This record gives sequence, C-alpha cells and structure tokens, in this order.
Amino acid sequence: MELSYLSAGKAVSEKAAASFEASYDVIVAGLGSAGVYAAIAAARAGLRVLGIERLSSVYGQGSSGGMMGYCAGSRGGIYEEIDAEIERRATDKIYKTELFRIVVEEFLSAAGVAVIFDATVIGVYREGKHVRGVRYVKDGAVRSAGSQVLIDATAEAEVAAIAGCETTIGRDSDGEPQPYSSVRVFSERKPDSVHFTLANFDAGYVFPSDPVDLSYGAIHAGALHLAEKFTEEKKLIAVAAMLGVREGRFIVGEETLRFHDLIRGNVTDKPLFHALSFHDNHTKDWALESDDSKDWVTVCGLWGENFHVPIPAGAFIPKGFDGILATGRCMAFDHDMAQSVRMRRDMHKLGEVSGSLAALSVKLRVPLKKVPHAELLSMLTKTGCANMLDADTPMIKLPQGEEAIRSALASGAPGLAIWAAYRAGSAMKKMLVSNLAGSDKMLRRSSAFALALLGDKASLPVLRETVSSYDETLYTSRNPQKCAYAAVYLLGRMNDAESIPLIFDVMETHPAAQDVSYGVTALLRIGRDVSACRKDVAARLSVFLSERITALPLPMQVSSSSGTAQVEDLATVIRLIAAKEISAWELPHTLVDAAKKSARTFRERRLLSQIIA
Amino acid sequence: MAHSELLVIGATGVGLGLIASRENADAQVLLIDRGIIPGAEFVNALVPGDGWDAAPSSSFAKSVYDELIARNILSNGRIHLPAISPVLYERMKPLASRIRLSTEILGIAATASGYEMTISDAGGISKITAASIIDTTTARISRPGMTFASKAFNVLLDAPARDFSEIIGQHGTATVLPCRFDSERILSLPLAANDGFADARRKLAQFWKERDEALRPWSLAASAGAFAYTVTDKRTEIAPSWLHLPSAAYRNITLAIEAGENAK
Repeated sequence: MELSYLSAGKAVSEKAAASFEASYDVIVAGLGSAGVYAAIAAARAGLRVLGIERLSSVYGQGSSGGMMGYCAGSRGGIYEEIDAEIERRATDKIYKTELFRIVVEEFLSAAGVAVIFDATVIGVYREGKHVRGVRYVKDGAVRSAGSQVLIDATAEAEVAAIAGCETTIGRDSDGEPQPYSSVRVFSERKPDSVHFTLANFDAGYVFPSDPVDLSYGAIHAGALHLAEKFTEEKKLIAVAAMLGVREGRFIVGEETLRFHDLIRGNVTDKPLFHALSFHDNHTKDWALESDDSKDWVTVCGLWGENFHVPIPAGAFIPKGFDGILATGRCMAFDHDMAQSVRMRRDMHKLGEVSGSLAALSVKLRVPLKKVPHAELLSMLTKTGCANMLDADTPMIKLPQGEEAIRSALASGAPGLAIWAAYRAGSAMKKMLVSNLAGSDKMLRRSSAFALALLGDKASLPVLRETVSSYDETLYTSRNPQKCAYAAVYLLGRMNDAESIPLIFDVMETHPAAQDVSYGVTALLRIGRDVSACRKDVAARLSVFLSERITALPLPMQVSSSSGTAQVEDLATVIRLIAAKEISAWELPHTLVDAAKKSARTFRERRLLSQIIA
Repeated sequence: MAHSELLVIGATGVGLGLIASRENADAQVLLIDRGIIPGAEFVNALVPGDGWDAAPSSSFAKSVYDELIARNILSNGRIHLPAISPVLYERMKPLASRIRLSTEILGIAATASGYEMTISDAGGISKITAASIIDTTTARISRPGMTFASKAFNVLLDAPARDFSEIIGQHGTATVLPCRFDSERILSLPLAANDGFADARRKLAQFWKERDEALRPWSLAASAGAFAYTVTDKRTEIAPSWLHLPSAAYRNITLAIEAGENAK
C-alpha cells in the first residue's frame, strides 16, 4: 500500500501501513451540491457510507455559498424529494439556505450516512492505481479510513489530484479558469415586507489549486462586501462562508466531454442523464477564449441558448484508476464544456449518478469501468434522475432545411441558423454565397459569418465591411458581442493579411478592452500563419501595446442588481499574450518589459512567470 | 523551507492583532487559518459579545472600533455582527502576504531552535519552521484535546416587517441577545459538551418547532458555522515559546484584537 499526497502541487507517494481506523463501502469527500446526493444514493443502495466535509454544515453553495435558487439544470432524481420537503416546510420561518442545511442533514441521517464535519482530506491510500482509503485531518488530529470506492466531490478534483490522477485546469490562452464570484445574503426590508435574497457579482480571477492565490482571493472577495454605511433596509445576514468558484481542476477521465464535440452533435450513445444549460462562462474577455467558444458566443450570439449535455459513466472515472470517482463540476470536461455542466440541479444529479455507480461496483464486485450501463440506467430511472430524451429530440434545436435557415439568417437573432448552415457545410454554400450579393444587410452579414466558419473566402469583403463600418449590431441581449468583433475574429481565423491595417485602425479608434483584445488576438493569428507579415505586426503591436495603451478596463459580470461591478484591467494580460507569440516568431519587442512594470495580480504574475520560463 | 520568527494560528481577533502589531517589525510573522473567515470565533460563531461601550486603547483595535461606528455597524454598544467580516477582510489586504487561509496544521515537532510544523493547503503538504508559536484558536488545534465548561449553538434571527415584540431574554433553554438593529437578534441554544453540528442542528430544529409565541413572528436567518464556547483561560503555555491565547476568551472582537496587539 502507498500513501499518496500533494507536495508543491504534485502528487508524490510513499509506502504506508495498511491498517485503517475504520472502513466503509463508500467515502464521499465534500458534502456539497453533488456529494450529498452521492452519499444518499450509495447509502440507500444499502452501503456503509462516510461523508467528510471541510465546513461545519452540508450543501456547499446551496447553504454556505448563499446560492438559494436554481438556474437551468435538468429535472428528476433524489434532489426533487429534498426540494419537495423544503417546499412543504416553507412556513417554518427558516430562511432557505439554513433550511437546506437542516433538511439535507435529516435526509443524510435517515439514509444512514455517517458525517464528519470540519475535516479535510490530505492523503489517499492506494495499491498501484486502485484507491483503498483516505487520510484526513479533523480538529488538528490526523486520521484514516478505508473505502471500496472514494468519491471526490470536492468540486476541485482535490482528492483525485492527491491520488495522482491526471488533471487539467484553465483555458489555453492564459491558463485561467473562468471568474469566481462572491455572494452575500441579506434581508431586504420594506415597510410591509421582508425579502431574503442575495447579491452575487464576479470578484475577478482565482486559481483554486494555488494556495497563495486562493488565500488572497478570499481576502479580496470578502472585502468587496464593504459598504460605506451598513443599513437595516438591506440588512446583511452573512458574507458567504465559501468562495463562488465556478471552475477549477478537472480530472482526465476514461471519457472526456468536449464542447467542440457537443456542438457538432458528437455525443455519447450511453447517456445516464442529460444536463441542461447554456454556455455559462462569466468571462468578459471573450477574445481570449477558444475558437469553439468564440464561434458560439461571438459569431452566433448563442451564450444564452439552452442545450442538453448527455453524461456518460466514463466522465466520472479518472483514467486508468479504480476505487475512485470524481463528481460535480470537476469531472472529465474540457474548459468550454464545463461552463454548461455546473448548475446546482445538474450537480445534484451528477452526485446521484456517482453514488449509484459506486454502489453497483461494490454490490456486483466489478471495477467501476465494468459496471453494466443497463443496470445503472435502471437504478437512475427509478428515482427519475435519468431524463432520457426522445430519439428525435436534438441536443441543440437548430432550424432544419434551406428555407428555414435562410429566413432565420435574415432575422435579428440568426445565431442558430448560422450554426445550422455551418453544420450543413457544402449543402448550404450556394445559398449562402447568393445571399452575399443581395440587398438585405442582415442576411448578407450572417451568411458571410456562416461562410467564414466554413473557411470560404467569399465572405471576406462583407467581413471587412463589417469591421470598417464598425458594425455594432448585437445578435442577443445575453452576453452580446458587437458584430464588428465577430468579423475581426473571423478575419483572423481566416488569416486575412489584407485586413491588418483595418484591424489596427479599429484598435487606434477604439482603444478599449474588447476592441484591443479581439484585434490583438486576430493579428497574432494572422502573423502565426502568414510569416511575411510578422515583422510589421510585431513592430506595430509592440509600440501600440507598450506605449499607446495604458489600461484596458473591463467590468466583470454582476449577476444581481445589488452588486457593483468589479473592474479587471486587461492590458498586462494582452501584452503578455502578444509577447508570447512574438517571442515564438523570434522577433524583438518591448512587451515583457512593459508587462513587468504593470503586472500586479496573481493572474498577471503567473502568466509573466510562464512566459519568462 | 519557509521560516518565520512567529507562527500565529487562527485569523482570530487575537491573531489579527498579533500580525497587525508586527506589521513594521523586522521579525517575520506568518498567520495560518484552516478556514477563510476572519474573526470566526465571534463572526462565524455569531457571538455579539459585550463590553462594547468602551473603545480599546491599542491603535489597531481602536481604529477598527472607530471604523465599526463610522460604518454604522456598532451603535449604543450593540453590534451588527455579519458586517464585521468585510471590515476585517479590508484590513487584511495590506497583511495578505503573511496570511495563509485554508491551511490546515497536521503536526508540530520541536527542533533545536524552535518548531517544525507540517501544514496542508491547496498545494499539498509542506513543512515550515518558526521560533515560536501562538495558537489563538478556541479548539487549540496545535495541541488537540481541549475541553470546555460549556458551549452553545448561536443563530441569527430576522424580524418581520412589523407586528413583533422585543424578545431579548430567556426563551425556554435558549437566550436571546441584542444586536445593532431592532430587527436582528441572536438566539443562543445551549449544547452538551460532546454535541457535534449534526446534534446541534437537530436540537435547533426541535427548539424551533416548539418555540414560544413571542419568537413565532421571527425568522431563523442563519446558524453559526462555529460553536460559541465559554473560554476562561486567556493564556496557557503549551511548551516553551508555544502559547495558547484563545481569542474567544475576550468580551468582544475589538478587545481580542487589542489583546493580540499587546501580547508579548
């Protein structure tokens, strides 16, 4: 037996004795939105279950995090029983975040789950790649417990990382996960009514696997709740006892879900249930997101479009391991996919699936990978968790047929039609090209966008015109991006060297965060693929970003009316992203020096150290 | 291995007073806390305390006390507890480089020149050394096994818009304590020595179901994330250069900060 633990962020192991103070069938680390249901599902299947929770109460974001309501997510499963009980006790005069604590603990107790509060997992016992138990600290004392299956419901893949499972984090451009939020709950008091509610706003960026950043992130976020005068009208009840981290580490699974595949209809044929959400990334610097994300949000305006995500068993199982599962938002997703599988309802269901999967593995005495799909599905069908779609219900509802697509392309919200035309490929090209010559401006532009996604150069004149006229049309009210930005991105995507002066013009005329970040990423992309223009792009960008730009303020998202937007300065990050590319071209620039002077945040310093290294 | 002259355990009132008073000192100080809530022994335990009429005399504690008044958090000797934490977070910003939140302590071993601590955080397990240790936690996590004369589970109550009466005082086994605003009160429910949080919430749910008429218009807004303990010993030497100065021994958080500032 080996004891595995993290040291300086990496898993290391040493030989260890194999005696546990206690043994369980299933141990769940983290009794939050997912872990609670993992524990209940496994215990109801007759297993001995232990839950280890870092805080002193259960339900994580739903209680200590202050997130009392739901956003998207799919229906069905054990959580509906708890919600019905919460509803039944609505007249108890207990505010919902607190009632969740009480009711969920009653359910855990009724299911026979043993719970240890105020305890943190610090080590994992394993034999090779088979996990056998955990080591944890409680009230300053180190303890251990054996398990048949250990479920990592920490939301950060913390236990999987400790066990030595492979993990990933962050987006490609600058390595960042999406912004974190900070919540306070308060009592809104009027002469005739009292309303218990929350304020929720994005606090910036935090890297949840970095202890220094995490510590600073907690201090920074907590201080954002400071008011000049605290009043009884908006009477504070609590600053959330945990950060609203939306994204952290992900396991690399036996099967990994990717947004790129989902939006192209390449999905599992063995779903256990369907998550339901939209591309809910809270970033504001979309230029730094992936192509898939920009195709979806910037070009098509589909940030708020709901779609289904079928969830297979393999996404819970760390690749190559047995005796361990990950559940919740740290499962095997890529950064883009994770934005759509993190809603509380879906976290409850992921928890239930993981608990059921663990239970079957223990009862049938088979490895987690070998749990029969049909039996697992049957278990999840009994509770209503397995919300199967009709055979003809698509994951994403796209318009069908040339006429429907053409008419939608001419509408004010052409996003789904642009995507449908792109997906249809050569079949729609003729129609799209003929639209370019027409007089309908909307139809021309959206057809050009679809053609650009297909890589067709016929789109270039309309794209350039969209940029030169600085077309501010928005395809949606939900996280809208100007059409000019979409066109800049697409010109970059198509390596249109002729547009270089045009893109510089836009940045000179509008030296703001969005314009500059879209412009710079497009220019770098053109330079990457068209080496003849590198020298010009590098020289002009170096001067522009070092001297012309002093700051690129970008307000973060405010999710409720009571918050104040936090402003991030994008200038240093953009300088560093440009520096990285131009250095790879082996051309001179002054961007690292400029960034060294301006780097202040952990995000900037982390990126700076990566580039210097 | 990181070394500090002094390791402070607990971002408590005493803990924050200790590091604030050494802000400009040459001595290297590090503060660690297993959670993320400053002053948790008061704020998270929902202990309003008393003795608020007089301002503390030390400079940092006095400035926090004055700020609480200026921000309408403290008035007429009554405190709006939930608003203390943003004030403390803001005060922690300039000290952030010597604060590590979400950090567990796994063990302490004596060395020739002080102590070697094994700690655990998001980056994993590591060792740090310090010439001396001051543990300010109520539970004395650096030397587990603390016992207490009494403990309670405190909860925050929220009044309806109108038609409610004053409830300060005894209600069955529980006591209601005053707060800054008339619409907020703390209810303190006594617990048995070995009750955990699951027991506490069970007892709370039972009490709430059977509560008296005067309490009925009020809502149960939030329960404490830490227990309220009665702590009597303000200073215990665990070993040479290893002190226990529990912050919860003080009458309110500003007096605890003062004690930290004045600690030698």
